[in-house]
Amino acid sequence: MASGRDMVLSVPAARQGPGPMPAALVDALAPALSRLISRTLPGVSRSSGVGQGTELAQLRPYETGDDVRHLDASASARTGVMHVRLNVPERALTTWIVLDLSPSMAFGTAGRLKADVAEGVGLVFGRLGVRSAGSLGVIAFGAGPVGPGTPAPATEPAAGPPASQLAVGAPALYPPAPSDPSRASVVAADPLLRVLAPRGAKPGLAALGRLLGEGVNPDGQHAPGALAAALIRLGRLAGQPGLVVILSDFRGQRGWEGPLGGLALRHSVIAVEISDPRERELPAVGRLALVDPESGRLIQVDTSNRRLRERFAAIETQRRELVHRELRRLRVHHVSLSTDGPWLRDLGRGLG
Amino acid sequence: MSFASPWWLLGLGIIPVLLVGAWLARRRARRFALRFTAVDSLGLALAQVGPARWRGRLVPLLLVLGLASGGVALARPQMPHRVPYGRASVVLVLDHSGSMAADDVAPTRIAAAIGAANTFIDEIPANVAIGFVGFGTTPDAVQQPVADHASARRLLDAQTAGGGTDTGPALALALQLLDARSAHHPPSAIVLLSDGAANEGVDPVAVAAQARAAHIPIDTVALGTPNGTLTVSPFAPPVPVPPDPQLMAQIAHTSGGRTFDARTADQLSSIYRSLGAKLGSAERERDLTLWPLALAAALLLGGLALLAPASVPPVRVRSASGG
Repeated sequence: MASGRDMVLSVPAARQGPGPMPAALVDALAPALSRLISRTLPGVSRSSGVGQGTELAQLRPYETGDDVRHLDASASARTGVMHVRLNVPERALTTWIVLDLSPSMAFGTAGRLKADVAEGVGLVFGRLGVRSAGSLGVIAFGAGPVGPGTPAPATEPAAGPPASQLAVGAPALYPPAPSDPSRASVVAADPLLRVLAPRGAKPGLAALGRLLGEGVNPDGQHAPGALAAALIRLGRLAGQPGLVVILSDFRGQRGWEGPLGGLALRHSVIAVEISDPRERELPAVGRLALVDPESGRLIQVDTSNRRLRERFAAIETQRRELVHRELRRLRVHHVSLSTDGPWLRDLGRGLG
Repeated sequence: MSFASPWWLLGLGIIPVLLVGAWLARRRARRFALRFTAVDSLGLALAQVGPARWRGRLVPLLLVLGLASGGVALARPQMPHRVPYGRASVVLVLDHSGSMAADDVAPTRIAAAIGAANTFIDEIPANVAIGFVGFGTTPDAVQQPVADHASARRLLDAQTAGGGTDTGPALALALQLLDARSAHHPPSAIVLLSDGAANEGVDPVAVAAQARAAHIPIDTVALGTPNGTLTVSPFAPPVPVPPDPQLMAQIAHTSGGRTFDARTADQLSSIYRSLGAKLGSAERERDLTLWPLALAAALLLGGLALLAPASVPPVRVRSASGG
């Protein structure tokens, strides 16, 4: 970060890792991904593989094995030595991974944490992205200016552009909370982002691996506008049309629809939503005291109340429906993964 | 209302301790809350459904009330009440001497005594055996104490006034009927209805001393008024037949019974009524432990049943905590 502030990440105690990721299975995702990408790249009907462009990269003497069609007649004639003309490949794909590192990703009650699934999906797209001379960039978000120990009220109004009125759950689901002017100014500050500039093959993968290995933000970081900020930053950074993969739980984030819609006009966008079964339905396990890892909001509920569980499931279903509807409206490919299933296979199905 | 082991009531002091402990536990649960990412949705659901207040408050209330009744039950509350003797015996000793024909008590002394004795028998519980000794010059109508009150009643109704007043042998016979010599005779009592003035035979006070040794009280009822007269014949002046309350009091005092001075039939009935209640029953402490115990069991079981979730599906919840 230019400002000198940076995320301080920590590895969740319950980290499981992404689990087995057979190379054959990852490779098998490539065609499906290509099909998705080809829609935004130039030459819609052509192959999405890297081909020859028109910009000159190099003129060099012919070596055995070079394609004779690339012989440059002028250069060969002037020098008397056979020269080939090499052009810059035009279709080098840049894959941007927008990675959610908010504290709520360190949650999982079934097979693994949401952060573990995000790590696996990130690695898959990283591997696919650096094939064929592609490059890989990452924008991580999830840290807010609200530090640990000063948890913000959960129902605090979203900061940012008026587009936040469309935010998931903001006016429709959650009642507006009494606003705290002093805190609102804090939230309105620029959320912390970490940007890894696009790099090719090995360096890009290594940087991604390092970032994924660092874990997520510790509890108490609450940044409702972080996803929107990351998308806006990405819109400025990504010049060439490319692939944007958003790995997030889309939980507690507001105002992302506008920036995402702008991105989707230029790039192929895949939104991977990661959830936990316990976030969709609560089991009847009696009284529970629950605390939100991001906002610090504490609540005591009796989960043996069947009406409460049903109401909760209905609200969550409605919330997810809202996310899904927004993504469809923005023509963003939506893949929903769960922490309790074989996420790699689900990802393949979602892409296909 | 009393308590057999009142120290257990101190155990009720555990209830405020429990309440404070529950409050602390709830605070502690707040400190060690589970991380959960959908708290906002859950809070919204809670606001829409409304907190399950009745159950949240009913369960502790039931448990605390159950504990309170359990403590009361351990203190063994008792209530005094009258328990009828299992096998008690009463012998009515009725004087039917000539002086009992005096009409200073309406209609006559003996008729009033018979009527009141019937009331007395009515008052006596059915399981108390009743015997009867009617005496004039000699004890001439005798009935063993039996549970069948009708036999004593038949003899009683048949009595007519006539003869002398030989109280001593009649009381001795009554003691014999009650098996006074045996150390294990049932609780017994003798009720002597007479106008006193024993004029023949054994000294009744000596018999009363025997009765005392056998723990058989003789309750005496002195019949008649001091100015009672008996018209023997139409040609002679009425003979004064005053009762002898001193003798009757002495008999009662010696034997450990009580004496009554009944001048009218109404008073006689009331005396017999109090005697009837006293003779046939004794005051006991009834143990009331069962009621608070049952209440405690019901409250505790009900509270625990509400505490347990209706059905817990087999779900594997692993707390995933970050940092």
